[in-house]
Amino acid sequence: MASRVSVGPVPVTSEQTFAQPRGVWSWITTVDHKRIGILYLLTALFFFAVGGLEAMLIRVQLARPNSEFMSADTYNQMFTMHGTTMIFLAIMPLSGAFFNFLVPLMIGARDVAFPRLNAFSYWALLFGAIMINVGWLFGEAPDAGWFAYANLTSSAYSPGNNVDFWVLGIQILGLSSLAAAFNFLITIVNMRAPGMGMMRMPIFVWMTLITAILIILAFPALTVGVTMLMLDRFYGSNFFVPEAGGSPLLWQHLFWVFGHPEVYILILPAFGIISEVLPVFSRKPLFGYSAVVFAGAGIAVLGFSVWAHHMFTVGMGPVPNSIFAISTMLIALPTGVKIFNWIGTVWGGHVSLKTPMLFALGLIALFIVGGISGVMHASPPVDSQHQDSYFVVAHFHYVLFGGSIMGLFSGIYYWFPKISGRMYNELMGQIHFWLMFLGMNLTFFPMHWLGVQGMPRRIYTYDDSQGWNDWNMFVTIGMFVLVVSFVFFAANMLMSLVVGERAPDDPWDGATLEWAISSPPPVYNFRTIPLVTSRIPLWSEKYPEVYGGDDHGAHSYEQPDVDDEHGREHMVPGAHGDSHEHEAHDAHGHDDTIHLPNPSYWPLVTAGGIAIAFGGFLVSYIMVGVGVAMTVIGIFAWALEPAITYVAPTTSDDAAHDHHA
Amino acid sequence: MVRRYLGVSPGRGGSGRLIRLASVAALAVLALSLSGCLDESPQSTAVIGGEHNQRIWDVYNWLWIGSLFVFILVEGLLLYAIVRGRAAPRTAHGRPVPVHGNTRLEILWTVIPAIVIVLIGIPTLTVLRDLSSTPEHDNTIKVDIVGHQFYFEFRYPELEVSSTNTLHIPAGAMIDINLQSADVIHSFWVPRLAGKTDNVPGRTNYMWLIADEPGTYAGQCAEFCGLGHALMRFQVIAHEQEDFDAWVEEQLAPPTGEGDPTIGEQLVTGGSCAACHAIEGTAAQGVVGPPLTGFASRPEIAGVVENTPENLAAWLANPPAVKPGTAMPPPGLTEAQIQHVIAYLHTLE
Repeated sequence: MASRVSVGPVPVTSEQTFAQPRGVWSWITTVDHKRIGILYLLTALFFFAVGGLEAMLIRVQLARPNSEFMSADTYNQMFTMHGTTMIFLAIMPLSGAFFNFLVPLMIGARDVAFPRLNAFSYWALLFGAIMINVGWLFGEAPDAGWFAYANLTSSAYSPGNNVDFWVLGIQILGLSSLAAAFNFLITIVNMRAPGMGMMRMPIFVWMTLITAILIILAFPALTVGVTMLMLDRFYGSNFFVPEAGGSPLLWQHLFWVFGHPEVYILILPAFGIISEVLPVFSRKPLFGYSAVVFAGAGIAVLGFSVWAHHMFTVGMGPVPNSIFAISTMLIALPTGVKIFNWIGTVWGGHVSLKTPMLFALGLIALFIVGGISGVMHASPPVDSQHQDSYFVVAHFHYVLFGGSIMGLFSGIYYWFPKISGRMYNELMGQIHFWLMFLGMNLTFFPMHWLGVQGMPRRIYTYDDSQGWNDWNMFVTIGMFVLVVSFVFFAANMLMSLVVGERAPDDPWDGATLEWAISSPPPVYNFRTIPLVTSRIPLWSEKYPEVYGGDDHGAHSYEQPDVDDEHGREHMVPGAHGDSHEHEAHDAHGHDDTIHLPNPSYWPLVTAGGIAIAFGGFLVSYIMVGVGVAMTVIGIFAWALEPAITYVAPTTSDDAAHDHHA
Repeated sequence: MVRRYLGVSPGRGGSGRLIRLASVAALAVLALSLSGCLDESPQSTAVIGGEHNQRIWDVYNWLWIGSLFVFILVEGLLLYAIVRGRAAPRTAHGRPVPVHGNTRLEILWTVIPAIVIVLIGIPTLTVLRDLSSTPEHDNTIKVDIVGHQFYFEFRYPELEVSSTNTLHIPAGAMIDINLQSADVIHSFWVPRLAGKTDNVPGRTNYMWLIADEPGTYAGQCAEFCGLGHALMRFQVIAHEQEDFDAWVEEQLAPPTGEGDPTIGEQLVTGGSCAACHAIEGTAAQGVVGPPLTGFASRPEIAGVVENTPENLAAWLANPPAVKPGTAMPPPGLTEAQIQHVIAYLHTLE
């Protein structure tokens, strides 16, 4: 249990230091970044299961030629919702769960910059997810594909409400993402612990920062496009209607100006996660920290100059196609730099193949495949054969499943002890990894061949004579291997939550600040704000003889009045004795208390008002009015209520109390 | 503390298992690759039907071989790093030597991929340029291809004929194509002959193709266009020049009148009708559309018009014109063939 030199003699759990509020109401009104992170995590895992179920049904339909399992109509809803769900409701919120839970812990902060805005982001996500999925109840789920190409989405060709649910849901999700992105950008820029210069931030925090910037720059393009589509559908404007002089290709440009950076929004958080996991399980600092940071930034910048590679076959002409081909190939350079630096991190390390490490290495191994096939269809002539075929389906599943999902599951296992306070079962984790790795390749690799054999994507049926029977059956069987792997995952998580061994504060010998506090962390995270003198603060503290004298290229200033011993006490806050209680004074405390954001239901009311207003477009303008009124009231009440609670960290349940400012 | 964690991790057996798994996986991938190449579909991009696809395939091959090389190199480095890490000697302080980076390596692994990109960029841009304008050819035929939900219409502006669902061309001729759409975005794709180009409403796109040998080439709409997208299949029939000329003559000739039910039966049970319709006691066993058994006794066609030979002729020429929204695409029959099919269908009491 006492895993570190600097932990005090009596390990203290959160229950002893602060009485966590309990009950459903405390979760509804929570503004605690950790609880919001858990809400994100559970919501994302739920929708991951929903999206997975949709994928299962798709594969059952495609297992045999001329299958009658599903109608064309149902199938079109199924693949549209699979893509939309996995991208907007599974991978993004799963990344969001880690941003929420970890960024404040990793930068040594008590919460995010705007805790109630954070709660708003979550509720807006939940309502957006409901809006997109509610169509199922009416048999009218979105059915125009996750990129909803105009003019198929116009009222003339999609007269039902299917596309409306998608449009309105995406608007709400866009608000959620933008609010969260601004929140994390501001948190990371402003709220880092003293001593943590930008170049001392953990890579995960860097990737969160870059992702936030990408969201802020990319989502407005989607919002604009979707607003135009709303106007076309609800008010008869003609932005995308060719008969009236509108342009369906305008939608494609707007969508992909968002949609390609979106790919990096989906993958960079996973890159950030494994950049934390690889060093810890190699017992070596990250190789080429600056290179990994700048490669991430380079990917983000280049990510805005490649969107039209989704449009090589729309007839842009050879000059634009050449330019976008070159920019797309260039993005392989920073991506390659990341991969080589990860290999450099593992190289010569003491590699421990625990489950998080397996998933991290799995990401590298699989992302290489997706990266290579990405370069292949960066070539417009080759892309003219691969575009909209199963080759592309194979490619983006290697990137998003082999990349994002592998990385996110690495994170789930890695931080499970910190989040839940329990250890997961290692054997079941290993089984999950190997089945998932195998199933992933069995499912998605043969799709390359189906694509080369001319099978288009988004077809609900194919004929015996088209020669795709064997591989489709094979792929469907592979998918069931994946399903079995997730059964192990679910069983492992559920069992470990109940009977798992109690997690120590620092089970992996971690290097970053979140491992300095208890598992799960106390509500106030750090009793005293830590002082950071290194990129690997805990390792510098635990192994001064190895990392102590090391110049990590980031010692931008000295900390003259903090000696080694003193600094350590700073590093490991929480209730380990009272000798340094007075330090809570400086800038962060209110006498001997810690200020925390006040619980609030106004973010929920505001997000609910927005959802009702958007939903009103399908019901009546009265409902729009009610929703707008709710939103306005919610914002005012939110602005006027007291924002801060003071809590005193003590070692007794009874002594935990709130003072309202 | 560190040792404790090193202690619980599996020992050397772990690396051995990893290597074994890796070799099994590599063999499996190789075996599957080979079988993947043997399994040829009528829509395979790997079967070269003409110059357009040949040029693409040349680039693809270059990329594919380069990719395999990069794949083996990088995955090999990764596996080696893991295995080496599992067996790494322990230092005095129990931690691996903390290496923070190496500028020369960073430059190296930026420059080498950059060279690889130049090597694949040059053929890419060359072929892109070559494919973007029609090569000179002494036998060029212009075709306008119009995408509809859910069929393609082929118009020959110089020959003043047209067809649906089957594009007739002379083998060896340069087919100079304009692409348009009557409704939503479609994509014209005959994988053996050429890469796809989209039919975008409000625009005219352009492509060319050549079929080297006479034969039938399967094609399919590649851009999701609605309910019937999966069934939006078509074929390109490359004829000898004289057969193509005969086909054009036949299109231009007035319809001959009475149909022959025997020819009609062959057309229905042996042709594309059978893909969707079933007729008891024949090879036609499709399940997508309604069965046609007993068709002659039915009062109506598709439940909308009276079952008369005239209405049936109009229906067979263009079903969506009779019943908008029907999933049945125009079957692409000539007028003479339509008469044969009517004669046959009216034998189905």
